[in-house]
Parts: sequence; structure tokens; C-alpha cells
Amino acid sequence: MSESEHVYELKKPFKYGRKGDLEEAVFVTLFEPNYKLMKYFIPIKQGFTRAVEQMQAAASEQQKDLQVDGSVVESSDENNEIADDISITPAEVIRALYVSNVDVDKIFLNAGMLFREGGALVDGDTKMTAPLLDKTSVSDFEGLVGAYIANFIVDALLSGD
Amino acid sequence: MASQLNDIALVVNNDSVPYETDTLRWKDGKGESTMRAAVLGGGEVEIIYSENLGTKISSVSFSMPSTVDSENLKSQWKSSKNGITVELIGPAGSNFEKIFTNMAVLPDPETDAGMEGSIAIEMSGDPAQ
Repeated sequence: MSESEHVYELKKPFKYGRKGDLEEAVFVTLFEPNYKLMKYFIPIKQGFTRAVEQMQAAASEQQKDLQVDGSVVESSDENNEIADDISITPAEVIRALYVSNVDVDKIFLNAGMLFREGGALVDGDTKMTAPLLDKTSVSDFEGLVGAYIANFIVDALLSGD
Repeated sequence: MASQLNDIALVVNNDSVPYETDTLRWKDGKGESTMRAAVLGGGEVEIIYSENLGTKISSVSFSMPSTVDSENLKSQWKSSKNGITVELIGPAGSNFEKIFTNMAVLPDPETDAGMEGSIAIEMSGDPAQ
């Protein structure tokens, strides 16, 4: 598996037509975005970037020294660890979006379009169409979005791209 | 209150296909049956029921507006031989769904390039699920 692809295993497989037969979908292959998918990718990256900055701002507030009865309370090492943590799982990505005030609905709509326009293939070879997206469970859809962001956006943000 | 079955989503090979109103028709492929009477005597008969297994073939037919997309679909489906799946999905809450597998476009479809032209498609295949 190259860095430009990521395989997501479905928690709730669904049935779909493949070469004339009805089969059960097992996994979805996600692909790194290209220029063709930019218009859907940009709102997702922008939304997640804003969510991360809100998280970091909240973490910074927690790390500020507090003055209590004239004395200074030093911030805990645990809070420093949170600020320095640079790894994020797909589930954490979704949680970060939900606890932020970014428009999650818009991110999910653009993610759905991105998947349908070539960003995802069911079982590695079947186009993710609107009817197939309709069959995808909510938890799997959130998982796909989380995996997409974790694999194709987080690294780019950390490296300053 | 019962609702008329005229708001069906047509999905062919996992893609929604727009079709002309009131043109969608299907047969489940349950096959034809016959009955004949066998004489028991004394004016009594026994009814013998039989199924014609050779008629257990489903069919789905519809017309699409003549567009570039429809024309491409027609060519794709014809090239797929019997590698087509068709799903008929009723409105939300209706619990209506029929799935047809291993469907093929048997006749050679004709495209009508008129102002309101259409392409008539007829597929046959496995009995409906």
C-alpha cells in the first residue's frame, strides 16, 4: 500500500452489485486528493485546520500559569504533553471536529462528494456512487472521513504544507 | 392508506439512472404456471399444477431520455453482457426493494434522436430477490 492510498475496513459491510452479482463490501480504498478534487478537499482541510487551532488555543489557555492567593501555580506536565502531542487517530479527528464550532455538516458533505468523484473505491475497484454512500453506515462514514483527514491532511499540516 | 407504486429509484450497477415517467416495468421472474385437470371418475377431477421452469427469467424495462449520458450507459450495459445488477428502491419508509442480478440487455436498443427522443431499455436475468 503506497502512501497515496489508505484502506479502511468497514465495520458494517453492505451489499452491492459487482459484475452482475450481489456481494458484501469489505473495505474502502481512500486515495490522496489530486487537483480534480480540490474544490471538495479545500473546505475539509480548512475546517479541520480551524478545529485544530481551536483545540490548540484551548490547550494553551489550560497551560497558562494561575495566580491563587498571591502564589503562582505552575502548569502540569500533563497539559504540556497534550500541547506537544502530534499524533491523531481518525476517531480523534472526528471528535475534534464535533467539539469545535466549525461547520461539520459542510465538511461531511464535501467529503461525500470527494469520495464519489474518485477519492474512494469500494473493495478497491468499484466507484463509490451516491447509492453506495447511502448504504454506508453513519459510523463507517465518520470513520472514512476521519481516516481521510488523518492520512492525507494531518501530516501535511504538521510538515507545514 | 395505500400509495401507488410510481416513485421508484432505479439503480443500475450502483448508479442512479433517471428514467421517463410511467415507463418502468418489471417481471419478478417467478415463471409461468399451468393447471390441468385429471379425471378421477364419477365427475370428479384432480387439478394438476405445474411450473414452466423455462420461464423463470426476470425482466426490467424502462425508457431514458436521449442524452449523451444515457447513450453512454446504453453502450456500457450492452458491453457488460450479463454482468448488470438492477435495484428498484421505493420511497423512504416504504420497505420496497427488489434486486435483480446477472441482468443483460438482450435486444439491441434503439436511440431516438428527436426533440423528445428516448432510449428504450429491456433487461433480463435472474429472478428477483
